[in-house]
Amino acid sequence: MSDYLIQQIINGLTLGSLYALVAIGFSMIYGIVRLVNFAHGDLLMIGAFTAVGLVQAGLPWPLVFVIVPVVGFLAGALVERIAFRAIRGAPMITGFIVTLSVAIAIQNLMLLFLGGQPRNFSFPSWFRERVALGAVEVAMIDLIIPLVTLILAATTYGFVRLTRLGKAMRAVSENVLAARLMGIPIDRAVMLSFGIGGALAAVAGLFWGGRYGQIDPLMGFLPGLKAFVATVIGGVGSIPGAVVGGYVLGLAEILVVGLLPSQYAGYRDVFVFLLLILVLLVRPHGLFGALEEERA
Amino acid sequence: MRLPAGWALVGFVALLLAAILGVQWADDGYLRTLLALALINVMLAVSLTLTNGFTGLFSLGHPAFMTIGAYVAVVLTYPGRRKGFMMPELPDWLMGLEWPLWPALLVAGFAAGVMALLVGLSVLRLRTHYLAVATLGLIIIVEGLAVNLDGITRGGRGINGIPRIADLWTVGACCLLAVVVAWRLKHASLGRAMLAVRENEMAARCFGIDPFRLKVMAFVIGAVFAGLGGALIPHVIAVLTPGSFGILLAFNLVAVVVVGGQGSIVGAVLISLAISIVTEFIRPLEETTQLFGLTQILIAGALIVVLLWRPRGLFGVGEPLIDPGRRFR
Amino acid sequence: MLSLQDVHVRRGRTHVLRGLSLTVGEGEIVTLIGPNGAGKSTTLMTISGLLPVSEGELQWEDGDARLDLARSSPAAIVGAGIIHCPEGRQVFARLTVQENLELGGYLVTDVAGRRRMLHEVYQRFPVLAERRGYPAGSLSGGEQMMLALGRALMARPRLLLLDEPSLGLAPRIVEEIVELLQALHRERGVAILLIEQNAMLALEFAQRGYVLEQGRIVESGSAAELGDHPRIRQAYLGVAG
Repeated sequence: MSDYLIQQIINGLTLGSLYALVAIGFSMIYGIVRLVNFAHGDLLMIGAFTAVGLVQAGLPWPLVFVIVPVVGFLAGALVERIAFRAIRGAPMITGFIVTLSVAIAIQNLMLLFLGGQPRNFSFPSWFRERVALGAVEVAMIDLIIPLVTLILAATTYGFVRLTRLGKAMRAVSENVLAARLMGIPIDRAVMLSFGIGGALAAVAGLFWGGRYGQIDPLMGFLPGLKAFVATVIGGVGSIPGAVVGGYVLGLAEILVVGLLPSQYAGYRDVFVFLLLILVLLVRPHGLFGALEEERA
Repeated sequence: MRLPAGWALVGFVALLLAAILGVQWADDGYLRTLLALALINVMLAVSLTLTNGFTGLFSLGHPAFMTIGAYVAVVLTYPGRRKGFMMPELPDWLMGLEWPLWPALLVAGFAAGVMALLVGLSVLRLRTHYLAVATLGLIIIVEGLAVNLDGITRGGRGINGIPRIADLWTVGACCLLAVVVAWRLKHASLGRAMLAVRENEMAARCFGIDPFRLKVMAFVIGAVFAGLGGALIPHVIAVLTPGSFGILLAFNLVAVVVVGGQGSIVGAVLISLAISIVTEFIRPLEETTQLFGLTQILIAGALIVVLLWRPRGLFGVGEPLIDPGRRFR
Repeated sequence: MLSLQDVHVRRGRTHVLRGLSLTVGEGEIVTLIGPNGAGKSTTLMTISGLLPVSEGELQWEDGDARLDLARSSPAAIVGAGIIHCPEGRQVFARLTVQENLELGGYLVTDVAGRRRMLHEVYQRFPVLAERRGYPAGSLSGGEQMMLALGRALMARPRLLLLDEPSLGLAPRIVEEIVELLQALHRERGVAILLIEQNAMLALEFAQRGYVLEQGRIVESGSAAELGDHPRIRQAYLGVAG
C-alpha cells in the first residue's frame, strides 16, 4: 500500500472519529425524542470556541480538556430545556422548524458576538510530532483522536447499557408511556441524553479545531448534517451504529476525494449527500438500526 | 365580513397594478428592485405553501430548484459579448444564444420541474425527518455542482453583468400566476385530496387517493415556481452565485409558510410581504449598530414564539378574510 | 384505599369523565366494565397521574400514608404502590426481559430487596427466568403479560391497575393469568382494579364491580349482583333477556 493511501486512510479515520462523536449524540437524541436536532452541530462549534477562549485565558491544556465537555454538557442540556422541552408533544414539523431555528439563532448570535472571521486554533506542538507505527509515520494527533473517540464511545455505550439511569434512558426511547408508569423521570432522561450528546460534540469541536487549525461560528452546521448522514448509515438509535457510520462516512469522504483526480476534490460534499440519498433509498435503517419504518 | 373570492382576486390584481404603476412613476431603481424582490418572495412563499402545506410534506429543497432555474435561464439570456469570458466551456450552440426573458423563464421552470420529478420519485417516499435532510442535501448537492462545473457557471466567483431584463410587469405576472394556480388547485378536488393526505394519509388511501402521486405533483408544481423565481432574481439584481439560494433561504421560506399557516395562501402572501417590509426597516439598523445577522435572529426568534403559541401557524389551513366558496356574490 | 369522588376529566375538547365516583378497599378485587369509549382507560390513566383532573377528588389512603392523586406526580403515585399495567402490555420491546423487570423496580432504592423481588418474580414466572436475556418483544402475548405483571410486582404494588389484561390472549393463557392474579391477591393482599372487555371473565374474577357508561357510573354492586342484573346480562354478557 502506498504511503499516500495510508495517509489518506489515517485522515479518514480522524475525520471519521469526529463524525462518530457527533453522530452518537444525534442518535441518542433522535432515539429519545424522535427529532433531528439541527442545533447539534452548533455544539461542536461551541466546544471549539470554548477551547480557544479558555486557552487564551491562560488555562493549561489538561484543564481545558476537562472543561470543554462539561461546557458541552451544559450547553446541550440548556438547549433542551429552553427549546425542546416546550415542543415535546407538538407535531413533527413544528419540532423540525424549532430545531432549525435554534440552530440558526445560535449561529447568528455567535456571529454577532464573535464576528465571522475564522480564528486560529492550535494544539501544543507535541501533537504534531510524528510517531512510527510499523512502517508508517503517524502524527500524534491522528492517534489521539481515534483513541479518545473510542474510549468515549465505549464509555457512553457502557453507561447506556449497564447503569440504572442509562437503562431508564433506553426505556424512555422505547416507550414513553410505560416508562412514565414506572416512575422513570422522563425530563431527566431526556436532558441527560442532550447533555451527553453535547459533551461529545464539544470534544469533537475541540479536536476539530486542533486538527484543522481554524474555527468560525458557522463551522458546525455542515459537520452536524454530515453526522446525521453517518447516523443514517449506521442505523438511527444505535450507538455502535453511529460510531461505525461515522467511520464509514469519514473514510468514504476522504478516500473519494483522495483517490479521484484532483479536479473532483470539490465534489466532496456532493458525494456525502448523494451517499445519504442512496442509503435512504436502499437501506433506510442503516447497518445496525431497526428503529422504525422510514418510509411514509 | 368575508370577501367573496372573485372580488379578492380583483382586489389583489388592483393592488398589484397600483404598486407597479406607482413604482414606475416614481422611477426609483431602488424601489423597483425592492418591489420586484418582494413579489418574487411572495411567489416563492405561495409555491412552498403548495408543496409543503397542501400535502403535509416537509421539503427544504426550494433553493435547489431556484439555483437550477437560475443557471438555466442565465445561460440562455446572457449577452454574447461577454459570454465566452464568463462561461468558457459552454457548448457552441448555447454560446450563440441570447434569449429574451420569457422563453428563458419557460425553459428554466421546465428544467426545475423535470429535476423535481426525478428527485421526487426517489425521495418523496421517505418519512418527514429523512425527507427534510434529503432535501437539505439536495441544496448542498446542487450548490456543489454549481461551484464545481465552473467552466459553465464560473464557479464560486459567480456570474455578474446579467441583463436586468426582469421588468415589474413580468415579475408581477409570474407572482399572480403562482397565486392563481395555488388558489385554483387548493379549491379544486385535487387540492382537497392533497389536504386530506396532509391530515391523515391512511384515511385518504382508504378513499382511493394515492398520496404518493399527489405529493409528487405538489412537489413538481412547487419546484416549477421555485425555478421561475430563481430565474427571475438574477435578472433583477444582475448577479448569480452558487450560494445565492442556500439553506438560510430554505429556512426563511419555510418560516414564512409555517407562520402563515402551512396551507393558507393568503397567510403566505401576508407574512411574506410583512417580512419583506420588516427586513427593509431592520437592515439600516443592522448597519448602524454593526449587528449583522440581527434580522436572522429576530426571524428565528419570532418563529419559535409563534410556533409555541400557535403550533399550526397563524392561519392554519384556512384563508383569512376571504370566502372561497363565493365568486362574486 | 382508593377513593374517587365526582371526578371530571377532559381530553382536549371531550368531556370524558363526568362525575365518576368509585372506591377500592384494601385487598379488594374490583372491576370496571362498560362499552368502548366510556372512559375506562381514562379512569386508570387519571389515577396514575397521567391526565389532569378538572374537578373532583382522588384520594389514596394506605395505613398512615395519604396521597392526593390529583396533585401528585406519576412517580409519586408509583412510589405509593399504585402500579398500572397499561393496555397492550407495553413492554420495552428491545430491552431484555431482565432489563424490563429491573426497570419495573426503578423507584425501589433497596438494592437487596430489589434483587430478592427479582428472584421471586422468576420463581413465580419460570418462563421469564428462561428468557431473561431475550428482548421482550420476542415473547409471546401471554409471556408478555407475565412480564408486565412481573414488572408491576417489582414495584411492590399495593393496588394494581390492570387495563384489559386478557386482550389478544388465548383462553388457556387467560386462565393461567387469572390464576396468577388470584395467587398474587391471596399471598400479598394486593388490591386490584381491573378493566375488562370480557365482562364475564371480569365478574367471575372480581368481588365487586362498577358499570361505566359515558363517563359516569350507572350501576354498581357485588360481582354476583351485577352478573344477575338483567340489563347487564343483556348488554355485556350476551344473554338474551
